[in-house]
Amino acid sequence: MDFSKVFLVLKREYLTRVRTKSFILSTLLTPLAFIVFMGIMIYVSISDGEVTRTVAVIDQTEAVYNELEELDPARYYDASSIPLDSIRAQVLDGDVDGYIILTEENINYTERPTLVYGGAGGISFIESVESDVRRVLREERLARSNVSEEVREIFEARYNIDSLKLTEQGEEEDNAVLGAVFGFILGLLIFVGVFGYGAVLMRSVIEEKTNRIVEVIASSVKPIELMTGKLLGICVLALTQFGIWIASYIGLSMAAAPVATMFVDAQMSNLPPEAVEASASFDPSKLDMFIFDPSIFVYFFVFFIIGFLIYAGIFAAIGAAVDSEQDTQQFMMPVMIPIFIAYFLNLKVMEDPDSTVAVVASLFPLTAPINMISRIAATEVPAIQIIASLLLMIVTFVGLMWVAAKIYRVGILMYGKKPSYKELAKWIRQS
Amino acid sequence: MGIIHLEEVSKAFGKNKAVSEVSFTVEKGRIFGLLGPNGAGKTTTIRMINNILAPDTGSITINNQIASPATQKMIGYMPEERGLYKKMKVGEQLLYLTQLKGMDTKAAKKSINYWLDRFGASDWKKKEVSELSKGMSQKIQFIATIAHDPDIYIFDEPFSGLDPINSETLKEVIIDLRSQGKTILFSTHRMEQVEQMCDDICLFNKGKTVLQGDLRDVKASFGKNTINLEFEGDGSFLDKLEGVRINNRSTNFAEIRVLNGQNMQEILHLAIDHAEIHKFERVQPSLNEIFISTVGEDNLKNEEEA
Repeated sequence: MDFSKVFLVLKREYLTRVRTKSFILSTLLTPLAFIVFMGIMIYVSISDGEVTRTVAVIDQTEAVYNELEELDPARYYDASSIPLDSIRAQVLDGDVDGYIILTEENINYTERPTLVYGGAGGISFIESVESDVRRVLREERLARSNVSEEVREIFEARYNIDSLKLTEQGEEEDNAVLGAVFGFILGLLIFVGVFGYGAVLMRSVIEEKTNRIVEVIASSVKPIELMTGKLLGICVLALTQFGIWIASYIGLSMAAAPVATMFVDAQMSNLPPEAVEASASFDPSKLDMFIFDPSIFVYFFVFFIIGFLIYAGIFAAIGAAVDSEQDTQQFMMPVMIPIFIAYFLNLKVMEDPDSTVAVVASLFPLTAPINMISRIAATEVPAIQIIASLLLMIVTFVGLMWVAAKIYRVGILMYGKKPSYKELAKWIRQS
Repeated sequence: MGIIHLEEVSKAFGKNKAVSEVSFTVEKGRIFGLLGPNGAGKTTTIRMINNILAPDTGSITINNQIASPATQKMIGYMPEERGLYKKMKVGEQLLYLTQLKGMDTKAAKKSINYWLDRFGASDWKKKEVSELSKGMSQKIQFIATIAHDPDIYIFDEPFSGLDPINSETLKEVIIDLRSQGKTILFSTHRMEQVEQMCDDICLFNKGKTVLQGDLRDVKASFGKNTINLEFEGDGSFLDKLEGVRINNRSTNFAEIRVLNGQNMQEILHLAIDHAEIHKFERVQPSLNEIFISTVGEDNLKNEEEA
């Protein structure tokens, strides 16, 4: 192979695409979209939900309503003086979402309180009313029983556990859930990258065929040089985009904690002391948990590159075999099946990264690029498995590339009838 | 040995023998025409000379070297189906294609500028090909073929789809290239261009060469077996003639190829009986007639065997 020609092809493929508006926009907008998406997720999880649901409270004890109102003034309102019939009518009309009657029996817990509601709101609505009511009833009962402050504190306390990961370097803070989610996202990124950029490569091959320029190029370079150059050009293009995304992620994750601290500190100096105490529940240094060990990004690039190379050869061969994009569908199935299986298995890998399914998926070369990266992020993968997975992928790459190059070589000069699988097999044999 | 030499070259696609045992030689500094009906194996042969396809058997040498990436650089090739990258600027595109032929950047730019100038196309450098008219992109295509200054030029059906002006320009450039000592091989099925331009021809039919050599020798070998007849009056007597083939017939003209050594005087007598004769001339057959008779007779023979 003449690498100066491969490089020329690579350069053209890369430069003509990296300058396109669509590439620049998708590179810049995707992280922005991601930030916005994350922001919405956080906002939704913090805020109560979309709609405020109202509950009429008929407090026959005359002791707990104030507490309830304090918990959520937008939700609860005092309906003790309103006749029950008209409240029921309001619920049926949808003016009120529900009503609850609280009695002495409820405080003593000889009878469970009943929330009567119109059917809207779902489980989260019922659960939040339940937790509010439970809390005010318990507090009222504790107050009446005249228990000591200490006992009340015991009831107030929430017992959670922290987890630390023991490694050679000692104990480290570890967030298994976050790691698993992060791994899933990296796997997803490889899935999108392999599929999306594979399709870019395929279209690029078809374009050269329909433009009829391929014969001119074939009179200057060998088909394998052309294919290699195109494949590497698009691979570098994908790496450029992912590189920018990951660099901006690393930058953001490292800057998040200091910046947030700065803002919180600035706000606190302007606030009265009681407000400071209230906002202390948000600890900016927690944002450090978004900083991951850089080695995961190295793995990401390694698995993306090999994964892309495995699939890209097939995409190029498909592009060479057909005359137009509409004809590709028949041949896409064999590519889509393993890649989509890997995508669906990725959920399983995220949930249980050490299960047999996850281990097999991360070793099988067609699913490994996606599933192994998710496993590495989520759990401690034995080095031998990573090496085995890489070796299997490289062997697969060489084998598929050998077949793909043969189809490509014959296909780029073939026009007319769409070939059958039988004819493709003939191309492989004859070249 | 000539600059391009094919020796017993065969190429099959599956069961279909596209080219079988073809041998010919193109001499340096000549214009060589590859003729033949569609599907005769011209394009396959040209692709093999360009090292795009490899022959199954036989050998192809260019400048005494077996066809290889090294010999590709000596050739400028314009395929029948022409094409460029639509979304790429003219200048960048020409530079890319010229560099692929192994020319270094500086020399490539110089040569591209020279040719763009010569074709009055310097203003198009920054334009995308999709913005150009068909005639303009044909010029760019041509520059892409010749900018790396090869010794050999191969054009597959170069005149198909060209407008008359570009056709004329191309003809001039081809003749100009020959005067610089370059070698040109082109395929065509348009005989008048072959007669005007070619030094040597090679006629293909069904994957085989059926006729080759110096154009004048080829024509002379057929002898003066053709009558050019100009007349006035009812031309229907021509239909009564047997053992002839009439080409180029119009209301007062006919090119009559005489088969089976028939006496031409009898034809003259018949003509005088039916019409007023203005001209009766014995000539060498036209290339068109040679083409039809060679390819046609060959076909007849094959049908008899079958």
